[in-house]
Amino acid sequence: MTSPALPRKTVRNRVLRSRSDYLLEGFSTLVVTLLAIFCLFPFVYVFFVSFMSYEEYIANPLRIIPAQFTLTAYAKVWDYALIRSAYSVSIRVTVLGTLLSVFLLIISAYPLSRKQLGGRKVIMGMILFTMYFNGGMIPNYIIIRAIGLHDTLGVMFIPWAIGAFNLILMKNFIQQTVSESLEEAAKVDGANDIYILFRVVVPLIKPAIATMIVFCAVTFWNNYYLAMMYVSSRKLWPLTLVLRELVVESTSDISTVSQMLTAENRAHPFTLRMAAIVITIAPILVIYPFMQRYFIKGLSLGSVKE
Amino acid sequence: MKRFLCFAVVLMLALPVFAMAEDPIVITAVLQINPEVVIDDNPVVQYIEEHLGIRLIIEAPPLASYGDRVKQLMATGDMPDLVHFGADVDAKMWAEEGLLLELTDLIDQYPNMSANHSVEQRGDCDFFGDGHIWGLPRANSYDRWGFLINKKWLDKVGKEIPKTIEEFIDVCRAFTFEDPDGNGVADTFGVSFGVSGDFSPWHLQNDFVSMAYSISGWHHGMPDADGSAKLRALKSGYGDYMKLVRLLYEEGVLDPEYFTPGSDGEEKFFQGRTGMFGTSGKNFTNKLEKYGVDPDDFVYCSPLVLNAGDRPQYAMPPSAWMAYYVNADSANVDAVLRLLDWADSAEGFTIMQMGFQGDHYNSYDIETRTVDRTEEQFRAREKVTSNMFGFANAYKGLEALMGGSNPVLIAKWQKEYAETEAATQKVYFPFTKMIDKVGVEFPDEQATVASLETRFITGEVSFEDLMDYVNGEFAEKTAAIAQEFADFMAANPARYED
Amino acid sequence: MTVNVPSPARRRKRIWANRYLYMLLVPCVVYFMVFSYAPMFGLVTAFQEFKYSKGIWGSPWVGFDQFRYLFGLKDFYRVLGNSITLSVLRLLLCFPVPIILSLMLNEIPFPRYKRVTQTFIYLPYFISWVIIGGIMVNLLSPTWGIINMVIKSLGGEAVFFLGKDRYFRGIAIISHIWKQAGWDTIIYLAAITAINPDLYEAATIDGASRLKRVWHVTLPGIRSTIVILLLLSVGGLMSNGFEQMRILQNGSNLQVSDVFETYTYRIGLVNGRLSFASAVGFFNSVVGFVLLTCANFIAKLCGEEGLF
Repeated sequence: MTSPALPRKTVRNRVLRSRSDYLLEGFSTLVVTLLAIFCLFPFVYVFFVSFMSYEEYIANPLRIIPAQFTLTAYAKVWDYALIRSAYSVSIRVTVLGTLLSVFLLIISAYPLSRKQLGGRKVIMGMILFTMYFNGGMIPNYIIIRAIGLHDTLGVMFIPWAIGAFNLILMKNFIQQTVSESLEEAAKVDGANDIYILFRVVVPLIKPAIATMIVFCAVTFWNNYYLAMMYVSSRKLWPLTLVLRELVVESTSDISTVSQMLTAENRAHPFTLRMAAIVITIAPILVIYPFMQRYFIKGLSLGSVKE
Repeated sequence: MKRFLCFAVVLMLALPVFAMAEDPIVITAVLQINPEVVIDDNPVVQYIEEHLGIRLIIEAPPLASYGDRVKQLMATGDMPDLVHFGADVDAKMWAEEGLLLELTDLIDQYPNMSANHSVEQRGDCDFFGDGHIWGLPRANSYDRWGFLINKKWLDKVGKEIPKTIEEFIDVCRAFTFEDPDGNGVADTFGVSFGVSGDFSPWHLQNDFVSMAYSISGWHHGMPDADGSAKLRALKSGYGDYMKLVRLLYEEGVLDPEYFTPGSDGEEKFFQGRTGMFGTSGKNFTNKLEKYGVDPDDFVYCSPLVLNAGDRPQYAMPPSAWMAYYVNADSANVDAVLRLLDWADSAEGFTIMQMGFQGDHYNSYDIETRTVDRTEEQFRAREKVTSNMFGFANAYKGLEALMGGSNPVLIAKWQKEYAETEAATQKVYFPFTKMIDKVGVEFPDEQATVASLETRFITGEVSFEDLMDYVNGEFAEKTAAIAQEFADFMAANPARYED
Repeated sequence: MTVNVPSPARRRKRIWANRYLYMLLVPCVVYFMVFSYAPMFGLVTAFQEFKYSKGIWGSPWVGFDQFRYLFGLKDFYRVLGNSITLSVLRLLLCFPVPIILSLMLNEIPFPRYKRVTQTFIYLPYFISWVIIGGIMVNLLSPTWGIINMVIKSLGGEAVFFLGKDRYFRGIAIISHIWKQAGWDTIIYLAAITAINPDLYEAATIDGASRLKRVWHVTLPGIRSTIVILLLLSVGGLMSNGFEQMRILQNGSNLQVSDVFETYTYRIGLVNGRLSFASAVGFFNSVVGFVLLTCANFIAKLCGEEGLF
């Protein structure tokens, strides 16, 4: 499609809003605001209860804002010997995992998005196949152990380095954003594919990269499964696993185990659990806005003029 | 695990070279240990090495994936010398496949072990019902399921502690409709129940009511009123009990949310939303402590009875929590059993439960099960050992601490425990492993019963529909298991003790 | 495009021309070979009676016995029906929400407000189902819950939402939307940034209203993303989210709330057979992959690019 020969700015400035436009904007704002309130409410509850003393919670479970803010729950969580090592493990896993993952996604998605590449459909099919078929718990364990990853920091991100779902999204995004003609133009200048990828394509797909950084960082930060299955040393437990073990009761088959613990052994009152949620989400809340501007900036970024 | 094994091998190879007489025997173990305990350089482990000559190499996977991790090890031929695992269908398979060492005769060669594990307790690892024991059940103390009542409410509505079902219904009504918390809003209930993971409305927390009908929610060995052995749903008092729960639900005196997961009945009770809740008599003061409530506001009471003058009964199945299994190919069977034997001795039990004198407590009396320790000592002990790490959770049938952490609670516990002990009859009976077959062979039928029971209570299924299914299809299909169960109980009858 | 098969020489030339692209793909292929395809030998356990002492290769073969047992279970078909009903509802009701939401977010005229609200709506994604379950019990409680307090203050009768099977599906859908929709907008928002702004300008010049621009520019611009996510959702029809189902299930709604995942989990738990779990997984995978392949085929018939 071709665009009119008018300079962009003048067009923007001449935009006149009709009544239906105002209606649409108003309606959208209203709906999103309502939903935002619904989504925020439970989190506000979690946040405030985490600062409430357990006695106060027990005495008045319907109260939301504590009469007195207390850091007891946080102090108790911080007191657990494993928390500090867990923080460092989680940060390392998240940073290394995200870097590796996003790098692999970029270099894998780009060739798969090129129509001239023979065999790409076969490879896509094989990748999709892995989204459905899985060898199971024991073979995975055997493989992990055989390649020496068992009980290492790497086992918490390497086995999930390429998410098939993310790869498909990335590939689609490149296909949408980077036209063949642009690539042809670069090729005429004598650039090879690797040069094109890093010098031409990567700057164009910043929104997708930002999205992938968020997706991968959140996945690695929240992931406790790999540690649960393949890590033995407690020093290597990530934060989510430690918090889960210490304060969040599981719904599945370990409930019998938690029944076995007496109060004297492990008190996991409600407020502790709430503090654990805040501790887990806080870092994401801090980092998210920095990433967000890349993919919510909207219409001025990521476009390619032909 | 591999690394540990290699380490073990290297150590053994190094043995003749250094020719040290006192070199410890290395044994590997996969254990359930809560995350508060620090395993590296653990003083208890060091003590075991110094005094027993056993170097214990522990793998303690996350509790959330414990079962899966043990299965990984078992399936890949990496079984350590010692494994802690449930006495369930997987362990039975391991025994069947020859992976586990048979302990039947070995237990008696170790004096503390044989003294601390009753023959009935060992029955938990009698997987094939033939008297062969495949693991050492973790010694635990007997539960006694009575209930706690909110004394403040009771005084407010001017009632006595209920003893019979009739009085219980009466108190439930008063707690619901007479505004016992005085807030002017109808937001209280007489009682809340527990609910089990298989969605059936049965739970040990409800035993204080169901025992009036000779039913213990999970302990099928409890004989019927006439002394016969029947499956839970086929007992003579089953229909009456279900009708009672339906009545409580219909009148709105039973917390209706009790069967929805995520609704914590215990917490609701201590929050003053319900007035009665089933609790074990062996540790009810721990709950008072956990929720930080005033101990004087609550009283522990014996289970209910049908008719005034009847004697309340406690169901007393043997108590064990999971079991310890020894690798059939272990080179150090004696060391493993010596370790378990030590944990069953007074010394081992004290160290593994309480830590070390000075560092973790000032004095500990194993006779009265009371301790003198400071907050700092308690916190230090939390990092060293726990009642989960301890290989035995009971010594001579009692836990390490009984009654709580302060003299007020201990006095309260001792008084109310003694009173309820005197008032109740105890019914001892063995483990009934064959009942598990109902769930394995008839999973759909079992789920159907659970669903019918709940929907009868909520009023969506008629009493006839429930009883027709239970006495019809369910009874027919489970007849063979019921017969096996009845034969077993005839050979191992229940014992009544006053 | 020509249909005739290229000669070997030309093919070799094409491969050589793309050698850098193939090089870039090597880590990806190695990754999937090691972490996904190497463990797939484990699929054979579905056709065995797994023995701990014999391992995956040594266990005796039993052919289709595990599947026969699974298909022979009395409640299997009812549970499968529950699964599919819920999945289809989810596809119809949950799938469009993030699309509409991201379009709406895009229409909010105040950029800072837009960012803040977007941050809020993705928050629930981070709260695990276990916690949400607890919050839901509090919110929906017939006695103490805020929703029923509102109902009662308006003169209505308290409703026991979690204790009646007729509310189960509604609650499952709404809570799913609440937890997931905000997070899923991220993908669509990123896709919207890829739309050429010139198209909006052209539309504006043509006098299109904003609604028309959404319909004629934005939606077509994110169509390929929508199609891809739709295809993957169709492939995921067999899965309903184990954790969510577990926290919403109870004895009173088991008739509708028991889905394939929770049902087979329960059966596997009591009989402890790894081979059974493996067979269940295999069945699930085959159904999912077949659904995906069919959906992909249909998408291609409709002129879409499809996934593969």
